[in-house]
Amino acid sequence: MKNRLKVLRAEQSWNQSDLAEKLSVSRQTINAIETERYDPSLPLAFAIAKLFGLPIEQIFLGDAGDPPG
Amino acid sequence: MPAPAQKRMPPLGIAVLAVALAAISATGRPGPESLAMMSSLGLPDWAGTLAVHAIPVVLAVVLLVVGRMATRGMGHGLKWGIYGLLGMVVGMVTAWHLELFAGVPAIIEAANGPLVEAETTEILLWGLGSICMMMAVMVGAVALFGSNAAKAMQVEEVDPELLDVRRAERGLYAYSAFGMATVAIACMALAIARQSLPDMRIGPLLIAGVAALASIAANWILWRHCDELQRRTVINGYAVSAVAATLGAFGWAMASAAGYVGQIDAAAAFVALTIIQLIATASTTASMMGKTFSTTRAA
Repeated sequence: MKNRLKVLRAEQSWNQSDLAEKLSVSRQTINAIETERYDPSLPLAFAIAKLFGLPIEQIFLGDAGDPPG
Repeated sequence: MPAPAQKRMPPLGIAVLAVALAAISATGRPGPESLAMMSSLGLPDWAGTLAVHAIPVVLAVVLLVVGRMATRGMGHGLKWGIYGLLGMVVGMVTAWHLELFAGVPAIIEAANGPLVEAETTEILLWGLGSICMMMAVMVGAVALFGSNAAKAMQVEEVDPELLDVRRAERGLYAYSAFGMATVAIACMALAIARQSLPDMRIGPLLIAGVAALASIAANWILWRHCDELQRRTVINGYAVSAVAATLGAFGWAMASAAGYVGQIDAAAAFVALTIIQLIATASTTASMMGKTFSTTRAA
């Protein structure tokens, strides 16, 4: 699933390790989500949304790359 | 759009591989047929012996370079499958030329009495144990030395983030190395028990049992510390291996009923299941975590 995690992380000047620590997951998980090899669970997606203060649909864009209408 | 030029191979990784293989090769005793073959090529004894020891090292490095060129732009599953086959070729050529760890049987016999000749199942147990021990050493090196060890053992360009091993993560690598080492010890102790005289089997069987329990404990601790991606990877690996093992067992049962193959005992079944699990887990881990620069850029 396409997502804006890498952009959002860069805006905060966090590396993957920083973000992984804030979300209590491994760096490999952050890397896999950013490179679209892994879709996070719903609890993790909510945790990411809460951390960035954005709705989930503004972070995870679906396979087409557009936010769901 | 044409695939971009591939990055050059990490020279340190190749050098480390060559040194490690040379160290393993040095433990071996050349077979008489191999030495005779070298003599027939006109080499003096010392040069023939050196050549037999060098063959596995040179072959591994050459096949690695050729394999990398041949798998350029391929998906990681196929790529690592081909690397696995090339590794098998190196292993078979090595086994044909050298009796590796030639001094070990004498040490075991001194401690536990005479050993009978290893048959297919025992050879597979020794092989599986050696692979697990090698993996334990590699993962253990990452646990001890962190990113430096991870980079030194890399023969493919990968995302640098994947090689960045933080101090807090080393504990998991240590548990993983411990788990692999205990599987290796269990396999080797079981092989020793099967090769020992009947009244000398209790010692190695006790060691095998304790090692197996320690392996279960290490895996349980690892599972408790895994996050959702790591657990998904483990589950995917076991799901693939369960399907493969079930189909394989059914195929073997049919072939056995038709009289093409014999029956297998529990030790052979254990070896087959463990090898399937290793391959399936490595494949799913590579597909979920190990995307290389070359496949990322070529996509």
